[in-house]
Amino acid sequence: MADENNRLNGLSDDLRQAFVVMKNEVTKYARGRKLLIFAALTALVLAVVTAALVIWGDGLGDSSANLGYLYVMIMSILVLIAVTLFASTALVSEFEERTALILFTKPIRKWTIFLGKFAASLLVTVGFVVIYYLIVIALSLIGPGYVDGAIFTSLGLAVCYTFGCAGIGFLISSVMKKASTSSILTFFTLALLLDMLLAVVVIAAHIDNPWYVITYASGDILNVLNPSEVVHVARSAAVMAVWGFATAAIAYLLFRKRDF
Amino acid sequence: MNPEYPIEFVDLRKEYGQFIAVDGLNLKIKRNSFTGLLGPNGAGKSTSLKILTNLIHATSGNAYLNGKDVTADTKNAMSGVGTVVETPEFYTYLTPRETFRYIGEIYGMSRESISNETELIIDKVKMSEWTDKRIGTFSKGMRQRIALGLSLMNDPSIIILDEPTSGLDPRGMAEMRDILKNIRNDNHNLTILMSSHMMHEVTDLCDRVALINHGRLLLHDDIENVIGGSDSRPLVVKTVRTPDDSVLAAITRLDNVKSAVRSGSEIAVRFLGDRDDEVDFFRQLAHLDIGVYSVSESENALENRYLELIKESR
Repeated sequence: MADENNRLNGLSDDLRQAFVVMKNEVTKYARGRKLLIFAALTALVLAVVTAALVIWGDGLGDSSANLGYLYVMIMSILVLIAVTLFASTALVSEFEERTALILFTKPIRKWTIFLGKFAASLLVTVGFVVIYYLIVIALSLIGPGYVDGAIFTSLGLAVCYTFGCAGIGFLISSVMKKASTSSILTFFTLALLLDMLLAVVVIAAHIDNPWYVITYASGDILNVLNPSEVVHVARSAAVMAVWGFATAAIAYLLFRKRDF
Repeated sequence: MNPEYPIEFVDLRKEYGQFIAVDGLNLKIKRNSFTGLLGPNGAGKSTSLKILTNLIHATSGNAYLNGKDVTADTKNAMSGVGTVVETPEFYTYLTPRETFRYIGEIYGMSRESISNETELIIDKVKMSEWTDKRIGTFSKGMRQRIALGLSLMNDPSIIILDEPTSGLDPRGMAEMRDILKNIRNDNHNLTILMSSHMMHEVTDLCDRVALINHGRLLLHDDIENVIGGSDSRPLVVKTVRTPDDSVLAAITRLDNVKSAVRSGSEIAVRFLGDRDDEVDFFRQLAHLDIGVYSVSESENALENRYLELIKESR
């Protein structure tokens, strides 16, 4: 009983410390202007799409799903940029900037540090994704006058995609020596490498439907807003989540073993 | 684990491919001692301390802090331990006050305790004027003082310092040593282990010394014993005239003098007696009327002993 209590107290303290690490990470994003840059980029994307619709299109139109489709087209790229900004440098920066000499020598477990950093990058990226969708929902209410349920499904899938990409970003961050290399590699892995891998799988192995590749699964974020597409929401969500869990687990093991 | 030894290395070994950085190191650090870990570059000092502070993993063997295995029970082992490893960098977007708050929160300290300790410690490390400035603009010496201050958070019983004055200018070194002396004087219930390759720094600050080379312990003892060797202590006698052989012979005949040899314009004496005998020695020296104007402990004694041991260990 006493052991169980100690274990629970220990776990609760670990989670408290993870929260402290998370707060500090968010402060870092804010003061390092990453938050500001990404907020400006997101606002620019929203403004350009809205302007394009108003100037060259039919305004906000009368279909909530169509409107959502137009705005969500750029969601994957936004997630990639967010992961590159917030997740890809989270671990490597502690080594490169030598702040590990301060943090790692304190009474804190490695998984607590990892969890705090992962939660911070996820919180900020998901925060932006949710705000983006809320704006789309608001525009949908202003224009067509209703919100298609598919927009919420798309939001759920975008959150899963964020989780999957964050895991990949952390995996790269756990092995790289320089934050800049980690950022570049993360962006190109998510933007090009996985797509190229997908193409190779499709062509070389004659597989029409490589549903287990994260970028393929992420297609449903947009497809769900297109009634003519066949989508597998649960399967795609599960694939993206598994990518997130698997890559985050490997990233943690590498991070734990990594010497300063 | 024996509570008399809050820091222990047991058969510690670290290999980097073919290179053995630490080779079966066994060392127990006495409670409330200020121990200098001395050794040439590449001796394994930093590697040992990095294993002790959970920055790198040992190939085999164990390191213990307050009886807790650093690798297996990291969180408990590091509780009550302050560290300054190399010259740490800080979160440049934070001020010293915010950094202390961050680390205080990691420790689980209350806001009030953090605030009180921050003021006290920042004053102790002479950084009061800079409490609310971003650390990104600080010099190396200032950052090192902040690091030392952080090591004092949460009232540690052990402080581990890895070459804390390395890379500082002479003024920075002197300031750091002064702060360390004050910390030591303010709290005698503190066990400090400091790696260094500067003999005078270790002689000035520490009461015990551990010499290592090739990752192995060569010697671990009170500094006085190390300086004196097994049976004598080195003294330096300075005279107004260059001493000739008759002067050396006269000194050698004095009580408790093992040997007296010319060392440049000075006389290096190996003295066998204790402090009381030393008083008699001064009196006898004065009676010799050979123009003695200074008698002191040899500043090079530790260095000589160190070089002797390093040479033997090759």
